[in-house]
Amino acid sequence: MLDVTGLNISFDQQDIIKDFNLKLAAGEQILIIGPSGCGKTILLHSIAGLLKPSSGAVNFAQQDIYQSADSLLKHRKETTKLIFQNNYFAKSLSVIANLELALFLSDKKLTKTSLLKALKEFGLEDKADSKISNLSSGEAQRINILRAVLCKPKLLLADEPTAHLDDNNAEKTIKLLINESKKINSSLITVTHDARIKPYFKKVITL
Amino acid sequence: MNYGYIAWANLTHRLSRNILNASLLAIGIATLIVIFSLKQTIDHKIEREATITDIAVGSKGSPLQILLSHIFHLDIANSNIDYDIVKKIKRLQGVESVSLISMGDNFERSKILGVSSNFLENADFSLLTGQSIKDEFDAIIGYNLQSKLKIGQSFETVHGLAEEGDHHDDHYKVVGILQKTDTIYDNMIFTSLESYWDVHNHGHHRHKLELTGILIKTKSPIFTYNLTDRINKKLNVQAVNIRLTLAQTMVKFAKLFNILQFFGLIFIIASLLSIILILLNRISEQKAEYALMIALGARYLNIFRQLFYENLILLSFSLISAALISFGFASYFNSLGLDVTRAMLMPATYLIIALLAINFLISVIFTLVIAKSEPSRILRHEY
Repeated sequence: MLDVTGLNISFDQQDIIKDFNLKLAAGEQILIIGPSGCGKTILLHSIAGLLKPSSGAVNFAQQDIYQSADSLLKHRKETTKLIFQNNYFAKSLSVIANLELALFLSDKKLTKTSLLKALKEFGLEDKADSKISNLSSGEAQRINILRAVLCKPKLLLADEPTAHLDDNNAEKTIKLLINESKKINSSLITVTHDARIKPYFKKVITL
Repeated sequence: MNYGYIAWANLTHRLSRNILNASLLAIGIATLIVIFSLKQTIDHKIEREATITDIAVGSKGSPLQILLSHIFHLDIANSNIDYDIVKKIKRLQGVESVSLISMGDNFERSKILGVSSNFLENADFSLLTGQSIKDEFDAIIGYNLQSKLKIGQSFETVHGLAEEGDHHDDHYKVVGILQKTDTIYDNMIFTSLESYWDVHNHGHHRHKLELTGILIKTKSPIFTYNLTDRINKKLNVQAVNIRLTLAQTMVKFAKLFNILQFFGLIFIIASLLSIILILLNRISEQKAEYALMIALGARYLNIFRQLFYENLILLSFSLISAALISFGFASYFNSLGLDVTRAMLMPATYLIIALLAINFLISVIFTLVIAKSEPSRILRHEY
């Protein structure tokens, strides 16, 4: 399904990612682990269609996502969704409006009842009308995951999903992420420097 | 969910700052509108007033003061002139018509002008409603005074130009309303010279009649120069060639006008720059959220649309506020006899078009900036 071949990313003639290769089957879950500053986020952004690599290709369903503007837009809109490291939200919108925004930009729609039900499943039903700034780190991270899975992408990309969480919340979050990706039959790539979540993945790549 | 909703949410999220920004924009816009309209109105007014009269005659003194008191009614006359002068002036070659004026009273700060029966005709003013002056103490009011006085209403006047002062015993009665003239006369009240004299000479003998001034129309511009010269030499009064004095005055004040225009221009440029900077700052502050929207699947066209909507809402608020501020200034200038309202339409229209164009350009440029810098770079550095 996802085939990353010979990926090189360099800034100012400095190689950040060098000859990276990855094959990922539908529904497969992998962890890419590495120290801070090794280029994990850059790699994830490149797979997400947000950063064109210096060379190499990111193929999804045997099509190079960077081949054309249309293929790139389709990749961002339909194929993949990013779970961001921090509070990457529209700050002016409420929790439920942020979820609606993600669906709107993916050309998808859910009723308010369905959204409230989804929030309830994530234990956040009372946060529907809250502003993102009023959420705790753990709550914000759960909304981050919910926003991505609601769009039902074929590929979920999680960037340091447990970086700022305590052990208890980190465990809850990673379990939630893995279970939700299974529920929607999505592949999952998680990048992190957090060794605590290593045991939850069968396939681990070290950068 | 739609882009208008997001735009509105973004604006209300930073409500106090956006209100401040919009208010700054409004002040800038209003300043531009007021400067332009004021300049246009004054230019038009000078031109208009100068066509009504060729020569103004008053008591000996400064030509500039006669210009200000007899033509623009912005000053008071030094003293009066004898009525006998009128006959001598009428006899001079080149005189087409002579209007007589006497002034020195007011009703709620609107000047009362005692005029000869041909004044309105010579000035090319016509009645909007009512009738011309026939009986003693009949009065015709300027267009702008309709809110103060109605036809049939009686009123008493105060001596001098201040609102408070010695009240005259006689009552004037409104018999007509003038059409809009776009001159100072829209804020004035007209009565016959006889009524004016009677009010002032109440209980006294009318043995020596006096006027504040005489306004002369000449048969052609060729006569104007010679006539002015002859009156000044032969008669013990001051005659002022209106066009010439205006031109000389303009030359004298040219430097001052240039300085004012220069500062006006600087202010206009500063206002425009501040408008652009406010729009750019707003976009800069939110560029990470636009990058997030790209990551979630938005097209660059969608980002442009949202930027445009957001600024459009902000600009609309500013334009409405600017209109209110401008009308506030307009009513103030109106009370001074300068009707700038109509002259505001043109700069306001140009400004709206210019602001929409600026908004369009800024939205395009910023969408290109987001596209060029790649959402990844923004997301990695901004959050």
